[in-house]
Amino acid sequence: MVSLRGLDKSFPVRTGWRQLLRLTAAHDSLPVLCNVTLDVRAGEFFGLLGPNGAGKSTLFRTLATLILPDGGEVTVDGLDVVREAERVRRLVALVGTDERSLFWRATATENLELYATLHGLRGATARARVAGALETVELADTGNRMVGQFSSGMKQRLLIARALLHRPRILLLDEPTRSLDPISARRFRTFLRAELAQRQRCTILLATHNPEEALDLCDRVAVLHLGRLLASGPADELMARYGEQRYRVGVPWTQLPTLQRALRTMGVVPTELTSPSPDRTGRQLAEVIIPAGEAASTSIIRTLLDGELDVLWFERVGLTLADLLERVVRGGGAPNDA
Amino acid sequence: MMRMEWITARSYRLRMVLSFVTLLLAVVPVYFIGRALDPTMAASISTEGGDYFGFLVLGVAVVPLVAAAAGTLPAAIASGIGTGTLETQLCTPIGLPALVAGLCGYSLAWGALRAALVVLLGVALGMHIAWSGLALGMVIVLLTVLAYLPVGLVAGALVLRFRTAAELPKLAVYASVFLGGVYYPTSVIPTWIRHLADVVPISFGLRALRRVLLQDASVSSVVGDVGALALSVAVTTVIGMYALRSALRHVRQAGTTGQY
Repeated sequence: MVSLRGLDKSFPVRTGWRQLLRLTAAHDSLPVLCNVTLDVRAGEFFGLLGPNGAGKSTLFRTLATLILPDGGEVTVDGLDVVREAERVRRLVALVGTDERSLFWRATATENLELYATLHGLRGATARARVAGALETVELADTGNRMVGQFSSGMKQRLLIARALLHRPRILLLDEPTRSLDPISARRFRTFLRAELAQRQRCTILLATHNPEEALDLCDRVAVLHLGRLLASGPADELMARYGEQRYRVGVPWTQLPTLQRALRTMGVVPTELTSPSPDRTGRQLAEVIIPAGEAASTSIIRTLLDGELDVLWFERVGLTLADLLERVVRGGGAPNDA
Repeated sequence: MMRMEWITARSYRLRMVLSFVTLLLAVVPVYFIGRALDPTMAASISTEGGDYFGFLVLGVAVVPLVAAAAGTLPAAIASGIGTGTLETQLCTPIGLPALVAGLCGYSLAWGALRAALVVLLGVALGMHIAWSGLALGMVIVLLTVLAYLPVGLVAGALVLRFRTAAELPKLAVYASVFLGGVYYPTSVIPTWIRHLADVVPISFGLRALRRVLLQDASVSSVVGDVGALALSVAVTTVIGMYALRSALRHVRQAGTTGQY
């Protein structure tokens, strides 16, 4: 469905006045995507994971025909994004987080009607698509309200509705939960999975810097860093390989030697040990971080409690992008199956 | 896109009401100036209707339209880059001519309505119009507007490429007002600069329009001016579209469609 073969892209670096006055013909350029090769299959929920500046948005904008690649070949459903850009635009929809790209002084329906027209839809067909898109994103009741009065979550859903109007085969979601609060983000993810992926059967590419979001939602995930594809593969395989679970255990500082002894007995080696920190009553506390799977963690907590340790907290440490990148780089990257 | 512009514009109600008030305020002084200077100007405008008030009204009606033709596209592109609407529109399969028409359509339609109101106010204040020449007059106005659209295309290209239109639309409009016989006939301009007036599209447009609407001139008597306008439209539109396409290609290459 989406195929990238050796995609390269560099952007010219903005020159200073001094360099400009020298009138040199040579320009510095900043590589943004370097020899990226990957395939996304039809109906797949594909995650593109990487920190800011990894090249995720550039890759998406290339697929959406907004950016011309410097080298390599990019095709969408067999169509070249440079030579057959207009046809590609009928297949692809890019959803960003820029709420300003909506017309705030018009209603949601009016916004969608405009884009339906731009996609060549007219009359009853356009009206039906607009109504359907609003229904899909659960904004049917607010279609006649001015967009300026919408919450961020509603605007985000309206951006999705706008993208769905021409029934694209590929949805490019560029950090869609970035401006949402955790509860709205969770609801939005459920919506992506249940409505867009499962019901509408869209091929979805999701760019995110949240590993848990990518590994949780997507069938396959690619890790992009500084324009290079470090790893890609099924989300569960990547999770098993790099998503080592860790737990944070808190005990009173005086019980730290006992905790360490207990962990040693179980063969658990703490990865981090924090310095003593006082709680609200002034009691000094210690925290250690231990690697453990879900099953092992249950037996560890049981053993610790049986050992009469005063365990103050035992909680899972979320997987951070920095951790994941570090592990991928350390592991030399996963075989690129994409 | 025109509808969206209309929806947005009408949502600013006070601004819309005031725009009609200013229109009225602009025509009344023209009436007094026209009547006061008519005896002095009548001879020099004898080939363009001979009525200075009518002469002025047509000039005042056409200039905002020409300004809209030259200035709307760069302003719309700059605004679209700032808000992100341009990128979303570029992601649709709409062609470049249709996009340009969509971005400029509302301003031109609104300008045309205001121009018509100015003329109607002029008629209400005693301006004589040859109604039989109205259809031809509208064609001439359309060609005059189209002759300035390429200025907008090139200015739009500059905005895409350099994020500034370098005051090109304003320069074009000011030069046209100065040289194009808007408030006075080109015959009163010093000889050494008059040659420049001969290449300003509004000179041809206004001269032909005044002959048709104020003098009831036939098609054959304005065919030279209309032909020059049509030729100018054909040549400059090709250049303008080329400039805009090149600029779009550049921003796609540089990845700056959304950077302001």
